[in-house]
Amino acid sequence: MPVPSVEEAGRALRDGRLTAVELLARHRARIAAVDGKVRAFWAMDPRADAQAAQADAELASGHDRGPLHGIPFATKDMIDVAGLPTTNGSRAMDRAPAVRDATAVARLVAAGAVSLGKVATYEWGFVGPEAGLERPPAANPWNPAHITGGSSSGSAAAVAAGMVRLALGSDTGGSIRSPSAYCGVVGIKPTRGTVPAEGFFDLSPMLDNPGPIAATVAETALMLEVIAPACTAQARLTEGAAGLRLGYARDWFAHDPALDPRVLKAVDDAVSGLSLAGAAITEVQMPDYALMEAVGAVMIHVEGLKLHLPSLKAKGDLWGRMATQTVQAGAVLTDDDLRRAEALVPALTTSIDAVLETCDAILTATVLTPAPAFAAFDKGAVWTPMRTLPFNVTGHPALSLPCGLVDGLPVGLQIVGRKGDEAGVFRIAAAFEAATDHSVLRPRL
Amino acid sequence: MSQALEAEALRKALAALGLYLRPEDEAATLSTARFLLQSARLVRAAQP
Repeated sequence: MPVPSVEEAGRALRDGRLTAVELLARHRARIAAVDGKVRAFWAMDPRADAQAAQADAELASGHDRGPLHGIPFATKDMIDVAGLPTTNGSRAMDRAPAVRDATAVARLVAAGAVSLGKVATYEWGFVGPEAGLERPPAANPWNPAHITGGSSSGSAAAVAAGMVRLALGSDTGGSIRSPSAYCGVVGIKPTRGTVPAEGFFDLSPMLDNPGPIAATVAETALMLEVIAPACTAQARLTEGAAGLRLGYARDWFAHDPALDPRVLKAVDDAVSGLSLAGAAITEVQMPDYALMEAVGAVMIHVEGLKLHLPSLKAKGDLWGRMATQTVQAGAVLTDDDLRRAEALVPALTTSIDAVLETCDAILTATVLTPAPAFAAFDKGAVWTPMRTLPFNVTGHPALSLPCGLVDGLPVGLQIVGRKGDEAGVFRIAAAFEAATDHSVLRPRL
Repeated sequence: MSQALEAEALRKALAALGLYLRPEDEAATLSTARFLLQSARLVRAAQP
């Protein structure tokens, strides 16, 4: 049985129907029941029992740390959890345990949450899924023959499979949003700099963003406010869609030859749903997608090769093939290419800001197909088309939430807001979630 | 440029960094490298 929502568990913890220790046991029972198929969890945090017992003792003594008190969460294995190694999914990574929790993990624990354990990532957060690594890749709970997307693969899969309601991930080019879309859960890449990067493995300092993945819009907003206390995420959750002006970036993805037309229909239907809920929709013209993708790709590959060169030279035989191929390809680029790419970022950011002056938020697709089958990757990495990287380049907040099923696999609607307006993004997401049943659909495992 | 010449150029670029291109990695690495070179061309063409 999937674990209860944060709200349900919170009520039960406070009226004495459930203890945090029992809630932790329910999470472990769910993991034992389904993770053999999903393969999301890589390590359990041995501190969890003590944290749950402490949560119970505090509640019994009247000390309530807030809505996450006693609630378990999972952490992508590119983020430090004290006492556990941060493997980054690679045999080449040093296995010394992290000395301290990443800031985001520490904030969750300080809010009373229970650190359940570490979950899967693509190797170095770069590319996957790849067979033949230390651990097999996580599988999509909706159909375990299909991929989860990545790199926050375990975070999205664990939430979708009902093993946990909350998980930490990180997003350099879509690594929170694409697995959230493929697995039918909610994930947000917040405005750049919102969540402290301390304790996260940095792939590209300018593009990286830690953030939450959760089962519902409200739980995602709650988790974001805990890991980024200065961020206002929950303030407008109940305001509905009436009066909103939303820009639909339909042309930005509708003519891509890689688009599955059923994804276009799902996103069109989602936009229509927001219109029926009271939002005014206009189509908006976006900057050239190919250029935005090119800028991000140059930045990731130049910075990624610089970062990884010492490890590739010293421990290359321990790297997986896909990550090796992807990182080494950056050798054809130069520092001049990086400088030119960085020089375009202000103008691209201004162009998205200009679109957002005409509307409250931009709507578009997260991914252009449902999750491919593992079999498609038998001969190497496969291009998975999406519309995520541009907002890592510009730094705008971007959230993905489920908007339909294609062949029984979820796809996502992406909502992009003004910088610092996470509350506005969550308002739209909550209005859409309330008007549809996509978020209550769960895979049968 | 032919694939053999592209592979040779990539091998030289990697060798300059002290890296070796394994034969089994050549096709996939070249494919990504072509995408990156195209990206760099787009970026250059868009300079103000």
